Amino acid sequence: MLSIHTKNENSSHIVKPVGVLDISTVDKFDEYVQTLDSVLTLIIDFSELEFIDSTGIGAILRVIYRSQDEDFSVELEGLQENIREIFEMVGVMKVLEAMQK
Amino acid sequence: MPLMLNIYIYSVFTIGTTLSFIYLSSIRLEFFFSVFILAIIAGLLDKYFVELPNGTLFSGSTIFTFTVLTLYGLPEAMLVEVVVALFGAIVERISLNKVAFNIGQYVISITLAGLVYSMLGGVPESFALAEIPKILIVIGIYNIVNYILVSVIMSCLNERNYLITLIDMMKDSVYMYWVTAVLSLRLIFVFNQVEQFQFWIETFFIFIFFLALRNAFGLFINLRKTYLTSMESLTHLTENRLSISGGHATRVGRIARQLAEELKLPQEETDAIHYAALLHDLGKVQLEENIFRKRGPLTLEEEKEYRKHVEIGAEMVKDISGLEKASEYIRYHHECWDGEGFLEGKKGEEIPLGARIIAAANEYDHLNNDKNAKNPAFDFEKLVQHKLDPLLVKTLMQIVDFGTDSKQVAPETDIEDKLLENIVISEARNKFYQSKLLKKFGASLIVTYDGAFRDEQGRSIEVPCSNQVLSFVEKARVQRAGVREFLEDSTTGKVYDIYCVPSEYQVHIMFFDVSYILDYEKKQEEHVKSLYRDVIYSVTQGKLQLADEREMSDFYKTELIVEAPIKTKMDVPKCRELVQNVLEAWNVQGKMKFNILLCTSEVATNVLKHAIDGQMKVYRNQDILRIIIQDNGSGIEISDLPKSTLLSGYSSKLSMGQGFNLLLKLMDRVVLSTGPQGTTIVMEMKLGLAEGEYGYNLRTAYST
Repeated sequence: MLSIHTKNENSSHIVKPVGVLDISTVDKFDEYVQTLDSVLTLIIDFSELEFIDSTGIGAILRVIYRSQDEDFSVELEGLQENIREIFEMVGVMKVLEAMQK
Repeated sequence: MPLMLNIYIYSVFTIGTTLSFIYLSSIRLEFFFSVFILAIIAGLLDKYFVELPNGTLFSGSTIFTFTVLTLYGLPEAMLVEVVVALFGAIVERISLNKVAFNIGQYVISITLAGLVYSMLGGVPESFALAEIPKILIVIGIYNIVNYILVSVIMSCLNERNYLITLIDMMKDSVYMYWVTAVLSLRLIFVFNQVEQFQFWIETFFIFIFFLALRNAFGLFINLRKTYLTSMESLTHLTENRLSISGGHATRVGRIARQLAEELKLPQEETDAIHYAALLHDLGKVQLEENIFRKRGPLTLEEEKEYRKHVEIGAEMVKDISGLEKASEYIRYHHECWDGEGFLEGKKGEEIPLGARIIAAANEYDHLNNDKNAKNPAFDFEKLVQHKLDPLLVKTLMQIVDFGTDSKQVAPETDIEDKLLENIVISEARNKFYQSKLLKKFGASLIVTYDGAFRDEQGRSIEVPCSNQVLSFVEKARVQRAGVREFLEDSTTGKVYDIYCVPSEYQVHIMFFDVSYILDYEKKQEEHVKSLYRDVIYSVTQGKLQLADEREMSDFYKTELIVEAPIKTKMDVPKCRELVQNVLEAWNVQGKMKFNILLCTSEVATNVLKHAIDGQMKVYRNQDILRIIIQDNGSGIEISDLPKSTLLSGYSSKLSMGQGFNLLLKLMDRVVLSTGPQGTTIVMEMKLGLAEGEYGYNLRTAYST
């Protein structure tokens, strides 16, 4: 129940997970992220993500941590209010800010 | 042996032999046969002495000495004494020293007693009631002379004050004095020169009486020794688990007992100290193993945990009746003389003497077994400065020998000890062990299997759960290795920790009744739970509650709307879907819906992460939605809960903690019940809808 749409725009790579990101789909997302190579900016587009829980958030965080190691930047786009609130509640936004500095 | 002592022994012997030459020649031959038979009986009684529960050895032989003295005369009584002394030499092959001394000792004693008897006007063969006081005095004289002679050797070997030794010995003998006196008088009374039948019958009965007494006390003492041995093996087993050097508790127990005896503490006190010493580390059983295995210094947290063992141990022992004192000693055995120890920082003589003794014995044993210690004696004496009672250190230095008996469980009996035991009739074996504790503790049974279960006397006996035990025995025999199992006896409800140890032709089986320990653990667990329960309740402002199984049953009482199993990852979205259907039917939308689905997802995911499978049930209680998710995992460590509920913030490793945080933030109430049988989480959310909005039967609409 997750499909991953991707496209390249300028120097950015856009990932758009569509559906849900939870324990049943997280492996698929992780696998996809593993294939990414030599990206400068990664944009994750949440506009068509219906649902995400802490398992899914874990996957997003792994991407953010990886960006630190491999030196690319991550942007989160299209966050709906519900998801944004959860991200803030568990501190994803803070981590992201800290990493991007 | 010191030269002086040898000189003394042979002087006594010489005087004795001289006296016997003087008197023995005047034995009247017509009585020789009767006297000789009585002497043989006396000799047998001396060999088959009775060991009293207080450790005193009591032989009935002197009864016949006094009977013969009164009925026949001094030379005849002396014959009895000499026969008794020689009897030991022939039958038991005891050392020449001892025989020589015994002959001298006995002959001198009876000579003086006989002389006093004739001085008092006592005439053999003419017995009347008026003679009773004279005979009592004679028996007293005999014993006093006897003890005066023996005390010289005792005090010399023990390096103890002569008078104290003598007085102690006399105190011990009061009881024996009266038994001897009464039985002697009885025999003297029934004696009739013409009609001797009754005399010999009663003689025979006294003989049988002593043998029976010996047997009865023997069994009793044996039983106590068995208990103590099982107690000691029990501590050995715990030591293995705790990486404490094997036999530590046993050695500390024995050293503490020696110290207590040296200080002349009363018997009961000595026993309490011995038991406390034996069990001083018992509390460690309850601590995390890693604390003991850790090398290097402990962290503050670990140190705090480590210190608990004295308290836990004391509590464990306290519940055993009759051991209140031992419990107190365990509690304070880590206090220091300067007040810098734990648990309460008591100092000096505020610390109970028993606890100070255990501390000293404990340090001694640690140092003496420490391979890195270059000069344990020196290190030990240094402890006077802050840790130990200076007087005890001094005493202990006198009775122990650093470096020699380190690896042995029991200090080796040296030659002087053996001599002591041989020469002396009482005192040396004065102290045996009490067993109250062992009974309560339930180190209950040691049996041997060789086709049948047998006790230590070789009698066939019944054991609990014999069928299962038999299968372990078989396993131990086939594998030629020890087998350890736990068994619950369904008839008595007792739980046994069973060890089977094979030897060549047999298997030895030890049963430890651990029901008590298990009960204790359970109580501890409940105690901890209730503590956390209060803490968690207050820090989450009542949002998170810990409940036990009984309280959980209330949550299942209202209307069940839908249920679903959680077995695979795909069941997580399924659960969400079911909840979503319910919410949509109730017209719950937006953020509330999202949050409830998120929490459902968190808890359902958690089942898959921490257990194999589980189940979700959705209930309605008026306008409260209740989602219950159960799993059959091994439970959540309660002690981890405050951490996971209180620490927010993200780590890369998402675990229970983060999920929990979300639940607490997003739901109105969360109830948790966890234990080895699984974890149940109840989440409640007040939907705040009017009654009319649940207008149709959800159950038929959504249940599968």
